Amino acid sequence: MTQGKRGKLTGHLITWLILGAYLIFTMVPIIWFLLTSIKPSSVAQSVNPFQPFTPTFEHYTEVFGGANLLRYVWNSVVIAGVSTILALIPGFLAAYSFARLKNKFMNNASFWILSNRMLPPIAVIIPLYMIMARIKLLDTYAGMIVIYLTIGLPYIVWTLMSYIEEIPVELEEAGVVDGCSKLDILRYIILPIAMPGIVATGIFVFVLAWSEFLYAVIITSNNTRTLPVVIASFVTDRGIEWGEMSAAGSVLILPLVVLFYSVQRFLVRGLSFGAVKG
Amino acid sequence: MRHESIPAERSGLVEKLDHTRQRWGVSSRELSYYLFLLPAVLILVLVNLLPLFNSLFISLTDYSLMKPANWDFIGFRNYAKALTDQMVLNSLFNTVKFTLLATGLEFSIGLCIALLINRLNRLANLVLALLMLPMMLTPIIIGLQWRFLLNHTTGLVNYFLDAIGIGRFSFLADPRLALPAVILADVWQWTPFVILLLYSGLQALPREPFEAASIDGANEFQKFRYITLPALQNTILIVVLIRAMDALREYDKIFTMTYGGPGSTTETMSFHIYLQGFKLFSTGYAAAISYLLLIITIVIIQLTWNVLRRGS
Repeated sequence: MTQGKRGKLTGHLITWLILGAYLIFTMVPIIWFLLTSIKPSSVAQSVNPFQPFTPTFEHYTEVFGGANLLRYVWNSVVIAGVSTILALIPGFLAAYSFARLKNKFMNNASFWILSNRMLPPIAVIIPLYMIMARIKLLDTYAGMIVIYLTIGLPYIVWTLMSYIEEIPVELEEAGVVDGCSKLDILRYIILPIAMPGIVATGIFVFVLAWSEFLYAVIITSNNTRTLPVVIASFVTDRGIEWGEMSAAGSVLILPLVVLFYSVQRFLVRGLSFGAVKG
Repeated sequence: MRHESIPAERSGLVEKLDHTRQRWGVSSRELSYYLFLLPAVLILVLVNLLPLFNSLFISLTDYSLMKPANWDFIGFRNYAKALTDQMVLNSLFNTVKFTLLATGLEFSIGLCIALLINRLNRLANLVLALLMLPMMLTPIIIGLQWRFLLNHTTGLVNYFLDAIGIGRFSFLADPRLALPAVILADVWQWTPFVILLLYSGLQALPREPFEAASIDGANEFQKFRYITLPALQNTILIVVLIRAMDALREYDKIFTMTYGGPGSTTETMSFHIYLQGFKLFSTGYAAAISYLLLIITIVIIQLTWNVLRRGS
């Protein structure tokens, strides 16, 4: 580079100015949201956003006590958790097959699985609602879990496929020499090595299921209503209780923030269908 | 065709399976691979594919959830109606507008930020970690969060606009500003996705071409245009296509920010289908519109497929 020292300094300054501005743009809404949840109602609704206040947890107690949030948290945990764990098994098996066997059929099959992720849920939900009603699975844990399996499967298959492809085939061949069956190879060789990727993908899929709204709002009702549906219902014609809403919302997103930071490193593959290694 | 002799002792299912396997020219090694696929494929077929066929059938009827026992087969009339329906065309227009603007903004801003982060050495990971947050939040919450931020009286955005003299806006009640507001929320949520993928792509680029270009006297802009951009081509295409595809399906933020309004200025196709199907209960009609959306989506899927295949 033929830039002088002054040019370099300007370059750095501009870089940090722009990055700083973007960082502020990113962080302020979140911080604001969390702050609102501990502001007393009168302050939260006031015109002056910087009005000094004494923090209060009244919204959290209202939301857990009156709105019975715990029950909905439990629904979300069960549905998102069980569907994620259950999706990992067929996902892992399919990922292994796609990673090891390459031919035209497998190419098309793996892409078909991917295309499921691109499906607009609204196109599926109309018939699905009627089918579920007919077989009496509406508003049940089982029904919701089965539907949520399809959310995670494409991600799981493609991300794990990318990870398993990097495991040397020689390890498996060594296993075969020692007399392993396919299932043995999977269980004792592939599984341990792919475990970090599996856990990370599982956490990512859990976050997706936890936040899912469209299927939930249509299929669930009084028995299995999940957290996002409840929070969306805080919006009424009378106006929004911002304090309570932000408290409930914070409850919803705090686990996500924690989980997210634990699997950051593994995100890129899943998000780009394995196309970008990250 | 391989002709293995089948031992006399094997019987029943195993023999049948083996026989079929040989007829199809599949080795026993391969068979287990195909069998492993079965559970995943079965789930997706049951929950996604079959309902889609059901939906196709429904779209050819005038089925309505209000009168479930009384429906007739009406052929393609729903489709004809949809293609001339002002509301459907409006939603299509909104969807295209939303997709183009959101994806365009996310890509432009994302590319800039990714390039800037690429200049950092030690702090890159920390900055990246902070920037990733919006991507992981629940879309419903993001919608509510921005609804609060853009509120006419209590919103932070209006506070600052007022403070610097521009005045306050009713973003979500103004027909001209509502869709841009939703786009803003989408840009806030998904630009980190673009940044993350583009940054990963940038990090994977080899150093030599850049060093060679420096020696040849190229400046930053030339290096960017002739080395960086072509090398990133596939990553860029994947990012843009994924974002476009997801923008077509956008629903959650619209639900909590504007519910399609004011009027129908923020009704995208997904949302309009929801209104038709679950608020107006015109199930058959909604199914037809959803198939139109599917066709658009399939076109984009085909594009993605071609890019992915070209890349690998």
